[in-house]
Amino acid sequence: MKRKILVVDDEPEILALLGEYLTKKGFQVTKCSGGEEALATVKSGRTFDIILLDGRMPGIDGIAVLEEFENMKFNIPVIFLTGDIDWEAKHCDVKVDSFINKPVDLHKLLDKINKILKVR
Amino acid sequence: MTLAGFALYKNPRSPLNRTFAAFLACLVLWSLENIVTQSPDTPQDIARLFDNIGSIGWISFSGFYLWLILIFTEKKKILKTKILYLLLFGLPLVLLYKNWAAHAIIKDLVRQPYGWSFIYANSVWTYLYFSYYMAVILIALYLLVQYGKSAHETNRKKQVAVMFFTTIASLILGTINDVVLPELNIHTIPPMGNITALIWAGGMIFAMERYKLLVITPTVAADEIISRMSDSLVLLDAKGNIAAANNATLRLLGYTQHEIAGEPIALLLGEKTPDKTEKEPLLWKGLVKDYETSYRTKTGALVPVILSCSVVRSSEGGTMGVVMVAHDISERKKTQDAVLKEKNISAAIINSLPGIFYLFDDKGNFLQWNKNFETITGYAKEEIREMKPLDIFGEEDKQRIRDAIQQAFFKGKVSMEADLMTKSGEKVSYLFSGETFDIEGVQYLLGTGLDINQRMKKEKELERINMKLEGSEKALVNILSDLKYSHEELQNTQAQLIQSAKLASLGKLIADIAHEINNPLMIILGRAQLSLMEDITNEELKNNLHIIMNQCDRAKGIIQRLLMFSKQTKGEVKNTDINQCIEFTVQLIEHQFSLKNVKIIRQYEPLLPSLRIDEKRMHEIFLNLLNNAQEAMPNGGAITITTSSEKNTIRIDFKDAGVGIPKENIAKIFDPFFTTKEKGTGLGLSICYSIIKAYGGEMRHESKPGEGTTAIILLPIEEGTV
Repeated sequence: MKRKILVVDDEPEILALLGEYLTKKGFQVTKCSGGEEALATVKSGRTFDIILLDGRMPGIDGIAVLEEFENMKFNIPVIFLTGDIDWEAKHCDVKVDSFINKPVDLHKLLDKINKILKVR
Repeated sequence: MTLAGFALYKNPRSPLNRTFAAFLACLVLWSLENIVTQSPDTPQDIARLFDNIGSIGWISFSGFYLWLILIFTEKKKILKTKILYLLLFGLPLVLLYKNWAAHAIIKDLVRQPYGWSFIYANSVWTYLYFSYYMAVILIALYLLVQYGKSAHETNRKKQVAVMFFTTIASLILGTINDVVLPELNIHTIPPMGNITALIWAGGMIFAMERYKLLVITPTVAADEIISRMSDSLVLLDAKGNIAAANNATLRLLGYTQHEIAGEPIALLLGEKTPDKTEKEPLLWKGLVKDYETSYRTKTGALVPVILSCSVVRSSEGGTMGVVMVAHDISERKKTQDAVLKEKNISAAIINSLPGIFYLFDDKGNFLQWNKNFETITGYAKEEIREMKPLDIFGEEDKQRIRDAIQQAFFKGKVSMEADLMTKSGEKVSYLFSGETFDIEGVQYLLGTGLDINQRMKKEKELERINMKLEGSEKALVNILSDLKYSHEELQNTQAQLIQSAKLASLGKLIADIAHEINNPLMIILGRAQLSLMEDITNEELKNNLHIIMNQCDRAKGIIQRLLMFSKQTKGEVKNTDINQCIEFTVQLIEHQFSLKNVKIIRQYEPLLPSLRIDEKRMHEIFLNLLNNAQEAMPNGGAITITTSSEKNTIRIDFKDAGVGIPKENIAKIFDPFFTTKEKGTGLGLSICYSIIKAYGGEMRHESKPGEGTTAIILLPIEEGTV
């Protein structure tokens, strides 16, 4: 059975790239182009094995989404995508399973996803 | 004539002798006439001439004689009346004139076998002359007799007798021969005036000279001296009563001889006398000599006298009496008192002087000094008398003082400051001034000393204040230079702030750009990766895709450094050993560097305090600097890394022997995007700089083109770090 993955990014080309790559790698990919949409998707009852969340987004950004997840006692692992090199240091109070710096090497991303899913 | 000269020679001033000489001169003239006229060869006119000359003598001799007798018999009152001289010489002058002009006395000269005899004119003038000289001589004789009777001394009596008898003899003989016989016209016997004159004069000389001289016997002399002496002389009899007192005594004490005679000596003696103070009268022992006492006057006043006594003893040794000689010293006493008063005033003045005063002679003996001199030096009078001027100074001052004293005696004046050394060895500063003067060939130095301790203290205080002021001035200068330094620092900081602000805005811009670039870059990279996942047989395409991926990685690296620069954060700080931190970086590159002939020389100071820093950031910095150093030496060389601690900082030097940095570039090397390298971003050093600044440190480069560059990092040691 295919692993379900939610990819959230405001950049359509990123969504397309990640969707294409992860589909090729056997994932069932759901794409959301913003924070609101992502939250709506999650709240609609759909389940995912893992979520890729972009930090910088217009409207509800990555951090806000994470906070909402926290409020919802949401326990799907999240990999945070950020251009911020010291994001971890800045946001140590935010509960996140992993983070990866943009620009993302697709193979490294896959390794990380697999590593997290394997733990689960 | 000889006799006249003799009399004058004896005492030319004595009126007696003068009168006697005049009297003798009369007799001489008379004798001269006789000598000439009693020669038969003398012509008549010559005889007449000499009679005229002789008449001066025979007319006036009696006047002079009476005058002489008056002096001899001490008829002083009569001698003072001027009418006497008119009586004595008025008539003779008239007679002389009459005889010369009219031959009123000697009428004619008659030649005789022996010469010329005189014929008296039968005129009133002739008898006037006779009675005049007779009367005058008789008066003189009467006076002589009277005087002879009243005279006490035998000598005087004898004198009177001789004079009386020679006068009588001469008078009688002369009168008979020269007056009576010619009057009786008996001219057979020549006039013997000259002989009688000789007798008379001889008698007179004999009487006057012999007895006059004989008068000065010790007794007479004593009488004379005693009565004339200015000192008081009192004779005491064997019982101690006053036998006699001289005129001076009577004058001094106001008594008469009569009042004082027979009285006990105690009458005269004042309070303090040997007679009254001693039980046994010292007077009688002859022990009183130059004894200062006083006599009591009739009115009871005391007269200070110097008394000397001598006891007169009889040949058997018995006491006959005492001679007391007293010298009135009231004048001297007054002078002495005045001197004493003067001296007391001087002493008071000297003692009132504020400083010290002293007087010493050219042999260095202290003669006088004031009380201050004693109190300040601490020496007693007796000690000072034995001391020399140099004794009141310390050893180190002595030569200087000796020179000054010599100078004072040479120049007359000197002034100097010196420390006076008291008996207890204490030193007191004084201003000494000395002046020398000369009294009867002896030089003296009169000196004063003024206490200048207070002045010295004030001077020292002033000096101290001055030094303080100077200190303040220096402090001010220091403050000023500090201020200047602070100002420069401020300017630097300001520049740095501006720089930081620039960097901050730049950082924000960079972060924005980086984020914007990140997505396209990720898409490019991702697409290339996706493409490579396909089965690509076209090797060229495959290669191109790899190039794209590599360049994306490179761009990613640049962006990440840009972002890091834009952050300027301290990162993860913890206690770090800087030597280890450097060594970690060095080990990363050492092998790679050795391939390029670059050697690393380590000069680490052991046991440096640890610093609170982010190791990763420091690795980046060190790597950056090491790379720069290596790139500066394209042909290889040595990089010397030195660590040291200075005060509160740790210093790290990266020294290369490379091409160096041109002077104009030194200031720009930390500017972002400044680079001289073909492939450089110009961000390396600016990132290093901002990190070091974030730790409160300093970073700079020292460089000489052609010799090499030293990159210097100074990091503060935080308190409490070990």
